[in-house]
Amino acid sequence: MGKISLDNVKLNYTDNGTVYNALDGLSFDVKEGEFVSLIGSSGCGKSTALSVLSGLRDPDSGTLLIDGKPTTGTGKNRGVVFQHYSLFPWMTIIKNVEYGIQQVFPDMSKKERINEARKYLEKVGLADFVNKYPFQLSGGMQQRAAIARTLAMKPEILLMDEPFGAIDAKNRVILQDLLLNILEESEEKKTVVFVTHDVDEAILLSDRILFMDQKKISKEIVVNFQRPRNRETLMERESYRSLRKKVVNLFYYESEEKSEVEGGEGI
Amino acid sequence: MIRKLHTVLPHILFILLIILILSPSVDGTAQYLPFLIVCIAIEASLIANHKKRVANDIGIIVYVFLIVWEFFTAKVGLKNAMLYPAPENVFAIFPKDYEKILEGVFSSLRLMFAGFGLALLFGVSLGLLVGLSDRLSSVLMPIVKVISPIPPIIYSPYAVALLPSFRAASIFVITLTIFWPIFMNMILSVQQIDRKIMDSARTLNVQRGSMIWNILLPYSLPGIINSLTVSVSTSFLVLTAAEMIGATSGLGWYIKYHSDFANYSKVVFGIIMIGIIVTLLNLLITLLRKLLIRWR
Repeated sequence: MGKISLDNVKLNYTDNGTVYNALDGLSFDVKEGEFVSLIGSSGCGKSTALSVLSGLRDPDSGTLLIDGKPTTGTGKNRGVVFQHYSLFPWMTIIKNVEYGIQQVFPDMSKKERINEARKYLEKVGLADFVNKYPFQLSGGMQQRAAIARTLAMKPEILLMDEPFGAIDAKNRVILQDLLLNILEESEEKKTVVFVTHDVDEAILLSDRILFMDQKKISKEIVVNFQRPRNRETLMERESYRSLRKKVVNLFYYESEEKSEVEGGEGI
Repeated sequence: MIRKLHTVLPHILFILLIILILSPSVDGTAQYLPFLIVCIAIEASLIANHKKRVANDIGIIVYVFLIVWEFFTAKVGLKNAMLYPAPENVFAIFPKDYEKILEGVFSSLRLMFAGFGLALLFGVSLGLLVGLSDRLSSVLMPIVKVISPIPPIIYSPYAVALLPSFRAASIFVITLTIFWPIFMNMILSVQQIDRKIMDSARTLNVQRGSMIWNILLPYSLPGIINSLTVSVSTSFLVLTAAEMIGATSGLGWYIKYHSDFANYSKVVFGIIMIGIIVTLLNLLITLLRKLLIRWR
């Protein structure tokens, strides 16, 4: 039995009286401690899938099982990092993290919470910025703080919705390595579902890549590279290059097919 | 050359004004000392802000106005001298009448602060309540849309008659003036809160109480303070107008009372006092904003 199990999930949304299909029979399992990437062109439903996992939206039909139990709504066993604005702009960075901790561990003393928050902020390299407000930090630093907050809440499952999607190429690489290191160093292995449209990012981080198309899973690829992984040594390998080629082919093949159907929307 | 002239012009005007003040006046002009002190205070603040170009411009306008005022009233002497009090006479009111004036100011301010407090309390709490409940807001909003545009000052004669004291009536009217914008603002900001913020709060499993205190209130705070800025002037207008109708103290009463006796020096001084107080209240709100909203 998997940690997470989605079974035939369907979700519609209504806009101006027209009903759109957001998820159409989405099914997949994620094992405990596994890192799974959802990849696909925009509009394929990958972010919606994540919002079902996080409990922000409940499916119209089908089930979400976590640890075998049917689950609706948000829960403390899951932590989410969004692409933008996870932080509350009126709280300093450390207050943001501390506030997150408070929601999960209401009995912890304020002092403990602050120490804990500081520890996680140090982990993501923000030790010198704890008393800044989010607007005083760059997008990359805000995202580090958001990751620190989510990790500090010690969720079993980490859900990430294109967390590095809005960050410049250089910082993106730094943040990917940071995430890789943090996850490999952490005592209990986190179960992660990671939404992205970046092929290299998906291969570097994941145990398994799920391709989404037409609002459901279309293909899956297992990434067998040993952990701990290192970007440089990984990318030099022939096996990496052939896997990458395979993923890229799948990715663009799907997109092309889609663009024929929907007239170029997507990519 | 012109630039240089521009920087010294207000000071030349100041000296001109001083000479004018010190030269002999027509009969019936009061002691010039208080007016002189006011002019020196203006010049001092001008020198303190001499680096700002706009301060220079403002200085020129103020001095030209004062020179014209001083010249035609105190030096030439207009026909209806009573209707056009000289600046000497106006500013001489303060040392003569300061007890009455300060009493009026404090009585007006007390009413203002009571109104502000009540309006904030009710506006924020009811706004939250209505904003959080779809049912409540769909029932109340059509009614509110009819009632809220009625200028609250319209209620003042009726409120004076209806409520036990003038104090209660003016607090009621001021509260109402400030209440509507805060209430509406609160409903809107609760209903239209940024979805990203809401999603973030929901994934943190924030409980309802904390959602209100730590998320909704700080999110709405800038909007509330902005609507306060607008309300300060209107509520003061409402208050002074109400005081003109039924009070026995306060600045509005002071102006109305003395205009009934054709004592226009006091009337003009009262008007100037109102300008000063509204400015001070606005400064207070700006300070409040700086203190409370450091996050953007």
